Amino acid sequence: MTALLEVSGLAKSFDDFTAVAGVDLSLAEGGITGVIGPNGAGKTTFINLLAGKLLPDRGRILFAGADVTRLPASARVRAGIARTFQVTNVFPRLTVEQNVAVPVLARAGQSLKPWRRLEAAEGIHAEVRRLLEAVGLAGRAAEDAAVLSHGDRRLLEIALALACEPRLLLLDEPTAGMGAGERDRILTQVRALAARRSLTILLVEHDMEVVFGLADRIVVLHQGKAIADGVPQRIREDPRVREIYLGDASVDPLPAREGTGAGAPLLRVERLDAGYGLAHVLHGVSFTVARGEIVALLGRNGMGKTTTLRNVAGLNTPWRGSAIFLAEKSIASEPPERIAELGASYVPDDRRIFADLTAAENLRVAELALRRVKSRWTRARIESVFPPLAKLWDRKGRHLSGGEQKMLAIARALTTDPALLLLDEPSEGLGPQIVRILAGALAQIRGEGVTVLLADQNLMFARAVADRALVMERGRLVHAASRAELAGNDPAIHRYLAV
Amino acid sequence: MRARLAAYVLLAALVLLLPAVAGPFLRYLVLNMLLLALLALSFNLLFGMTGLLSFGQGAFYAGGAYTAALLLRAGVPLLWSILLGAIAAAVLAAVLGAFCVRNTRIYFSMLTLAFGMLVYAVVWKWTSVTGGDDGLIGIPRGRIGLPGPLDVRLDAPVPYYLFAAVLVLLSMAVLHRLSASPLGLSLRAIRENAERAESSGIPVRRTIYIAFVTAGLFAGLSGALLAPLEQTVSPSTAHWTKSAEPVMATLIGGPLSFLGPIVGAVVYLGLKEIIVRFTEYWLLVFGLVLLGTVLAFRGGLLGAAGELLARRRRG
Amino acid sequence: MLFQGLVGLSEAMYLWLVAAGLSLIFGVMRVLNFAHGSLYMLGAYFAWVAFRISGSFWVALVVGPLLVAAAGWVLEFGFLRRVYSAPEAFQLLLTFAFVLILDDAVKLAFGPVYQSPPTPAALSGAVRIGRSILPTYHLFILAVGGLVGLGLWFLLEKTSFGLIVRATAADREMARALGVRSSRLFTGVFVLGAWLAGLGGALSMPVRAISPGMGEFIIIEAFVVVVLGGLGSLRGAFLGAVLIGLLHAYGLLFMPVFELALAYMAMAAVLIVRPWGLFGVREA
Repeated sequence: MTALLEVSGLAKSFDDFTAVAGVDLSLAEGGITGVIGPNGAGKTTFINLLAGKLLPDRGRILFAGADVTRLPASARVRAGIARTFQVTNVFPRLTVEQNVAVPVLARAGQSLKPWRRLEAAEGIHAEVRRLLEAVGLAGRAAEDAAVLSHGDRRLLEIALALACEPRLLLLDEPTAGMGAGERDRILTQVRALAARRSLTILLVEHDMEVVFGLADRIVVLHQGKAIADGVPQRIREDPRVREIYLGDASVDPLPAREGTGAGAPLLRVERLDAGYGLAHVLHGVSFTVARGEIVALLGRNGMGKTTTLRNVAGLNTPWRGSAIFLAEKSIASEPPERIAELGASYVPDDRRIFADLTAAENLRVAELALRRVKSRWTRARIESVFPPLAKLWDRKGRHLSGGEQKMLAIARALTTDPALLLLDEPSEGLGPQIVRILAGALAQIRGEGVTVLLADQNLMFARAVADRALVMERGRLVHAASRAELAGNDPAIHRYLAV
Repeated sequence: MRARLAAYVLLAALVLLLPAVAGPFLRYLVLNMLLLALLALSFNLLFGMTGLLSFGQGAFYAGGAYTAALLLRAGVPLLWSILLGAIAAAVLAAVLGAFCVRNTRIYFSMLTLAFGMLVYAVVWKWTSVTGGDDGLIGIPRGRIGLPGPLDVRLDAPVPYYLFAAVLVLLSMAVLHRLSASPLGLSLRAIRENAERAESSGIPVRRTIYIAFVTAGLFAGLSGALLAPLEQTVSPSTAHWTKSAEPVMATLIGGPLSFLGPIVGAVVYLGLKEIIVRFTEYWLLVFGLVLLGTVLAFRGGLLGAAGELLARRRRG
Repeated sequence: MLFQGLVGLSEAMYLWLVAAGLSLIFGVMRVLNFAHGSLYMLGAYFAWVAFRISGSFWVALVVGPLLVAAAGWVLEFGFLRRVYSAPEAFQLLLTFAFVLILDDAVKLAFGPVYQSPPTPAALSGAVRIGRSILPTYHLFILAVGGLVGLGLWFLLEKTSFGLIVRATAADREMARALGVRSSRLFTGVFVLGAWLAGLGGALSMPVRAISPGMGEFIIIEAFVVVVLGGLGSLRGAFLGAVLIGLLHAYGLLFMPVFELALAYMAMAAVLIVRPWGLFGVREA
């Protein structure tokens, strides 16, 4: 039997970052294939290449025997490839019914008819009804999509994709930002779909419970390459996959800090509820970080770690009822520039180096913004923390490697003279040597009296640098581990982090 | 639904019966309102429906006006001159649209503005054909161009009013039908979320292109009807200040409902008629009205009315 | 030939001043300021008033643009910042409302007559270059345009303010996370852009007729220039302005009928090849 989808040598780069580096994949008709991998593994780019939102630099995509590599997205939909999006993507100011009618009409080849009345199209109507009933939204047909709950919108999105009558359905994180009840509804839906023999599903998802519960085959992407492929049980036992998710054990742990936890709280987060639009990501998160501590937020991707840091930094506004205090000042409704001034500095996971500025200018921006021209963190001091930067000051941001950008991003944050450093995924995607430099740097940074809250999915890195860890799962803090427990291979942590 | 249809029929009847009761001034004003309403509807096909702010509808308005004027002066009968004028505008839109729909948002607005001014520049300079700065004058109305007893002469103002009103009302019916058609839904889907529309199987660029050409067609019709009404055409029909009129009318009336541009055109010209009696600086007043609309009433009059109604219902 | 070229270049400088402000504001704030031509017009009127009061061209040249900068502050601080969160079509419409208001306000205040103040004595002569004779004022305009270009380059590339501006234009959120007060910066950039337009207007006062409609002409040309050069790129704005200026000058010489249309045709030609402009960044 020939494969439904045959991908060979697919590659895509952005500037000098290679997102997908030559992936081969063959999907037979039917069943659910899960695609997993840590942040930045290239999963979303891969989906976008398959759906036609992006065109690949190299490689070929054969679908049902035909070459679709360079077809635009709408033509691929008509060929039988439909998708959902990571961020909910419906037509907000159309009714639920009209939302579904859009792809149904396109499928029927009628979306450009200027004269026919919508109400008169009998077959269309019946089809829309059928789809809405299939996802359980028939009762809300006449409402605007904008007023639906997040879970209902995700269901509507699935209905939109199904309306294209795809043979291949690409689901990009269908349960992102969902409560448990909503998640179960989606899972039931997807299972029911998969039972139809004519539909093949490719699922990208961070929630391992979801992937392992649904998929009958799993592909692991790492740094743009497929490094493992097989039935769930085999993936679970694959040592390489374990290493990707838990990290490299070769980083030497920092010396323990004296008097852990004795300092006064610098950061206090109380009942933090937050999210994006209607997506409810954080549910009542409360914790404190004492002065001088290094605390790690652990958890797999998509569990709310970044959202927590962004809310502390003021880049997202927490929902009502949440409280955040920095050195006993309430900062929950302050703008980011004010929070930076009060002493919390954020280092994003994707670094966000100003690409057209040199490394030195990147630091200068931070100095000038707060007029801290006499930052404690002088050039010399930063060079002692990150020796590789010493030779790079005149280089443009875009010409720095990922590791160099990471160091520069931390250096830039330090230049604002922060009391609290918020580090998002410091070790992600970096080679062991850079990770060792980072671990050493964190020791020096703490030595200067800077408190650190870091979010990571890499257990080994956290174990090496953190005084204690908090584990997040689906937007809640579910576990706290002391330094001893971290070092002692706490089985609870493994359960939350490993696949 | 039936009540709405009845209301439409009643309004159409009022428009057609108007000459029986109104004098020349009101008749002239209402016809101008109808022409602006049609132009605004064509603009709103792009703005309210598709989410694209066009600042160049004047180009197609002028395209229709000049074509019709030239044909009429060459002796082509009225109806055919006007229809050919609209078609010429659609052809112009088909050419310019090929550039404009490649870009969206701000680029689209700037390109439509610049191409609109390109048309203005051509009209202004191509004196041998367009009469340049002076425009074309002495445009005859003459016979309608239908066979047998229908071939009426339209030189008198009332028959021409009826002829133009019927064409505008018919166009409005067509545009109304279009807004409720699958194409209309596809356009609104693009406005709401172009990416999702594309991944629902709608060829987004081609769909926008169709809307662009259709908008050009009806803008051209509006302009073509103007030429025999005024019996002159001037380059100001292509100027961007003309393109701005449907923008203002639509915003005043409300871009999200079909009737918005029509209501807006009536209010705009009605207000203008009143304001010019007190001051020649009516654009200043409209600037202030527009400013208030953008700051406080982005749904326009109909949007505000709808909200008020909804609040009443909720109690 | 040479003469035409120099005239074209000096004409290009007004356009460059307006386009520079337009492009700067767009690059940092992502707002397309329709009223930029009206600010240019205000520059001419304010300078004219300052000239009438002080009797000095130089005073007018300093005071006029400063008053326009103040008007820019009112526009941004009082109005524009209220619609930053609205769809961009509404930002455009807000600035358009100001086109209508300012044009008529000027008519109301100064009347619709075309005002033509004199060229200052020091600049009213002519200079012989080779076989051509060139009005001194044209050379003066060229020099000012070039100086402003250098000044802007220095400001953006070599000063702290420029560094913050470039960082904010590249990634506003990250700049804020580092402590940049972006709303103050926005006001500053808008005021600078307004000042540039005002300077263009003030410079045009002695040689071009002042009229309430003068802003409308130049804003459309400035749009063409920035589309041609790439939105947000100052280099693009400069080259675009020079290109359009030369096209007008030589177009007038060789194809007078198409002179006005040439600029638009050039724009169309560029857009076929590079829809994002000569120096623009491709839309993602």
